[in-house]
Amino acid sequence: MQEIARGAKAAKRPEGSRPKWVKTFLRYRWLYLFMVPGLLYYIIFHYVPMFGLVVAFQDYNLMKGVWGSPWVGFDNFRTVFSSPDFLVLMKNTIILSVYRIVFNMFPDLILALMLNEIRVRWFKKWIQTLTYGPHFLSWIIVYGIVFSFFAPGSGLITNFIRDLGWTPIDVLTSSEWFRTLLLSTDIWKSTGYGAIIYLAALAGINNELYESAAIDGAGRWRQMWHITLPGVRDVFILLIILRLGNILDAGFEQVYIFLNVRVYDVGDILDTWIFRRGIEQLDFSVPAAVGVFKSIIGFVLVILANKLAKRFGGSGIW
Amino acid sequence: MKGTKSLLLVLMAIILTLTACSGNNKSNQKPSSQPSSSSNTGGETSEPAREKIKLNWFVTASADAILPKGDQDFVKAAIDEKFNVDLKINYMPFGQDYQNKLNSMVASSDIPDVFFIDGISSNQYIKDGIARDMTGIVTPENMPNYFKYWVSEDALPKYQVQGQFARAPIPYEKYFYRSYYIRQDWLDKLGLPMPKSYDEMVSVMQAFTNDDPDGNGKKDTYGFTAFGNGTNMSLEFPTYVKNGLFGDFNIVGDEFIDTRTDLKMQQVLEDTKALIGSGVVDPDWLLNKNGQQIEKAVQGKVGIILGFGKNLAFDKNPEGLQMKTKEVTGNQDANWMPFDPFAETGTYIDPVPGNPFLLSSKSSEEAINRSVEILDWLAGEEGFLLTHYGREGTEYTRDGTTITLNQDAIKSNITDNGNFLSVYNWFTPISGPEEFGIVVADPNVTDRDRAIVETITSYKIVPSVGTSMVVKEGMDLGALRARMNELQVKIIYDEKDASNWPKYREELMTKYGGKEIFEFYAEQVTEARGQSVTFKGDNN
Repeated sequence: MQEIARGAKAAKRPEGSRPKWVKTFLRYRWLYLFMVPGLLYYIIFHYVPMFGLVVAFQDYNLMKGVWGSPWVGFDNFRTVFSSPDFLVLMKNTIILSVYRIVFNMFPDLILALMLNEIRVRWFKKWIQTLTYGPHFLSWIIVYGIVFSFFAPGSGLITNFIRDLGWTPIDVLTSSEWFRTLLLSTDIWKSTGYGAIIYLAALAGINNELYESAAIDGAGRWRQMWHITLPGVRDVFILLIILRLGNILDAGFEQVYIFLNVRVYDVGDILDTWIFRRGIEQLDFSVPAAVGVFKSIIGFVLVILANKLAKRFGGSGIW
Repeated sequence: MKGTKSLLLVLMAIILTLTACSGNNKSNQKPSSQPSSSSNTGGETSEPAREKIKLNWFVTASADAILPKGDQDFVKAAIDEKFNVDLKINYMPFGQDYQNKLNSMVASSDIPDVFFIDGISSNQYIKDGIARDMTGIVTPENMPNYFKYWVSEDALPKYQVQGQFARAPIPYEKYFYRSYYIRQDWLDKLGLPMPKSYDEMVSVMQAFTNDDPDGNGKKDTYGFTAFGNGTNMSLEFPTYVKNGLFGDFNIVGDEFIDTRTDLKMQQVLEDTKALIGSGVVDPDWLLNKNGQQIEKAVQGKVGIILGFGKNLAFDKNPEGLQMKTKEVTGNQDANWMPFDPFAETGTYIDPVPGNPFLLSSKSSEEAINRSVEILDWLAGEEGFLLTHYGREGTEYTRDGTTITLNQDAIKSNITDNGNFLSVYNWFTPISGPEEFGIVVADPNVTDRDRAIVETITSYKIVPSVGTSMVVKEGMDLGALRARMNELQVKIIYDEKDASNWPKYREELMTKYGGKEIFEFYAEQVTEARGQSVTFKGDNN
């Protein structure tokens, strides 16, 4: 590689002085070539589709397409922000999202820490496999399981509670329980998988640190506090920043599947609304406007979080 | 290391089987295309050698239907050969998911050549220009069978919306066969008579819930269940008809009634609340999806449900309530019988030309013409018999105007083969070939079955609005219904009585535009009937 680059440089020299960036480019041209497929992927599948955002500023008609539909400026945004549902949707989305960040990140970390303390290797492997198994089930299946446990009439647990003579709880259709239900199933499904990234970070901590700490008389808890936790801090912050970018997402798939008419007041989020409006009613412009709004909020939050992370001494993502 | 190896082996095996399957697929298609070209030159169709084209349809089918692969799908083979096409059908049971799938296809510009959709939703597709103008396409010349047997030419203009001819009704049954079904054996066990009124029906529900009709010593049965899809108060509750509300819409005197937003709903909600409050309704009803109410019935968990279709409780209908209940519960005495507490005073409404088929505006002329030919063939005798009873000589034998079914062949070639005819008879959802002057002699139809049909056809039916209607431009019926459902479920579960209904109704009529929507409906009915009909959106 280097040989070739150098050779090329030598050959081109007599042609006189080029701008510096051209020189660098030529020197590393083979490396740039390697980058092309990756760049193309992002351009074709991530940047070109962004052009479709223009439908948020149009009265989009399927048959006329993006080129033929009339422009309406910010009308769609006005429709969204003046809709009586909008505030409720925003509130539900943010509450759910914040809950998810708080209640999903710590179980991941705690599980990783616990697994890290296990010294019997086969046991650790088993537990790890068992806990990340549910990650591979789709939400439809998880809902099926939850339904057969908690269905108000025929659920296993509901019936058990009723047979004991207690007041049956109606978890699936109660506004008070709905968020708890979403979060607890989410924890059940994703904790094992979420722990993997922390385990990787934990594996990267230098063992000598533990050894010297032990010699200095630090116990297990001290070691965890001074070595393990600082070791995973960067990963933790990175994940928080990434999650903040998606704060207005709140997990569409799960919510859409679990939602029913009795929990609309706490469970209806921006994405389920977008889906209903877009796919069920074939109205694309207004949902696209919501999508643009969501992305802008996410973008701003990621930048802010990154700044904050840097200010408080950690390293951001860039 | 060993683990990784075996994992790799398993993966390889899976990949191999997959490729083997798809390879199979291709090899299956070849032979079917070979004879088609030869038969074409043999002069079976009038035009000599038409180019073979691909057609793509999206239609409804029953929930259990799966198209078999290759030659076992004898209908596809017949169609492909006769019309020299490669007909690809996508199918799903009708419902929200069906519409979502169709909309996703439309949104990605992959509009099916022919598709089925319900009447109200078809508007959107016509408005957006997705549906093709049918002028010169759906004509008696192009579709002789369709017009001869099913739809009269002068019914079509009445069926049109937005001033263009872009949809046509699929043939429809002149009777709904809608009835409540009850476990006669449970009634007998508890020594109760067949309920004849609403009050008797409720007390039977109570007995079914409290008196252990299945005799297992546990209180694990319910009087009634329905399906609310997680979203709405089901129209299956008998409380609507009890309060004089039939179907989705009807006409009383010169007044247009939208059942679910009518003022009388206050009493309906009150009654339904009482019914649910007394614990006789399966608590899962709201979350049940369509089909789950039947499942509960089949499992012997409920004693009364509402059913549609002529042969739902026939003795030897393997898809039916009767046979499945016996199979699942192991109780050979299980006996579902039809009844309706309102048999004398009116149970439901007449069918109107219901759901349309639409053609894609994006498809090629050739694809549309070929599709229309196939549709007409489906509506004709040959297609009808093939898509309802199978092949002559195999699944049935014919003697003049009588066909005799061979149930064993039907079971092994059709029912056990994914019940796939249901995919093809979406266009003719009719229960018998009487229209063609043909009678079915089915050795499996028993006297009990005939009695069931007799009972159901004796119910009094209320005339319907007699026309299909369009939502006014710019109005959002979906939002209205969604809000309505939310409010009704709220009344049922979270409010102490239904006294808020008039207030809620006002919200629906004003804020959600109900008044405008239904006044526009009334105008359309007025036009179709030639008699003045009005809608009263105010509460007094």
